[in-house]
Amino acid sequence: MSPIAQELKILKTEKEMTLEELEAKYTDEWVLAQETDWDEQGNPTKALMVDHDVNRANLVRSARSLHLKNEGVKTFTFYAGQKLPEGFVVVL
Amino acid sequence: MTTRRGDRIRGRATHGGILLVPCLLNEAYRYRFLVDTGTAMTMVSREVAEEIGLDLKHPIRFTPIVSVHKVAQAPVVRLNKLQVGGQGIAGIEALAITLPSELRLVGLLGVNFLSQFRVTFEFSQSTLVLR
Repeated sequence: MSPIAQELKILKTEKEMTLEELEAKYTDEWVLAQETDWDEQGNPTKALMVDHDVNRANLVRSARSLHLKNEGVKTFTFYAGQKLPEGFVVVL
Repeated sequence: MTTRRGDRIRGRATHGGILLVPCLLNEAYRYRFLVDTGTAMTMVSREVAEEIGLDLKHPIRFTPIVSVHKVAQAPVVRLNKLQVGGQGIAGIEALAITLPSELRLVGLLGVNFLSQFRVTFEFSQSTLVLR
């Protein structure tokens, strides 16, 4: 467990998971995860869940706090699940 | 003659086939950005800008942006580093904008990054290749 996790008491019950496991567990939510393992290209393969919420804005504080208190940490924030409601067509 | 193999960045197809790839900002914050050859400048959402500590009250400048829907002003900020796979660019500029929440996106990888490479899309494998 990272120092920030101990301090924030966020990760005490969390275990290292693959990204696929995280996506499955927190479907249709935004996930803030602390990267713990990477492939040879530097892409994360495992991570610890730090915070999750249906509202993306609610993760900003957790991410800021984690990075401020634990220099060198890498986080991956992503939406788990379907990225766009059915029936939408994207035109940017 | 030598051939550069390039970086193969495995992403995921979404939004009707559009490609999302993981992008690492400032060597610490990773997000999935939509790869968009129709966007001149890389974009980050305001939440991301706030998260990584960019000062939106004092951007490099404001610039007019025009899309198929509207014309608006947006702050231009500078990222210390933007890395995709093994390829990174330091000091790249980005727009900080509010993206529609329905998109569930926090950034667009634009031409000011992509143009630094020879870019290949392998849509069938949801892969972006940067050489």
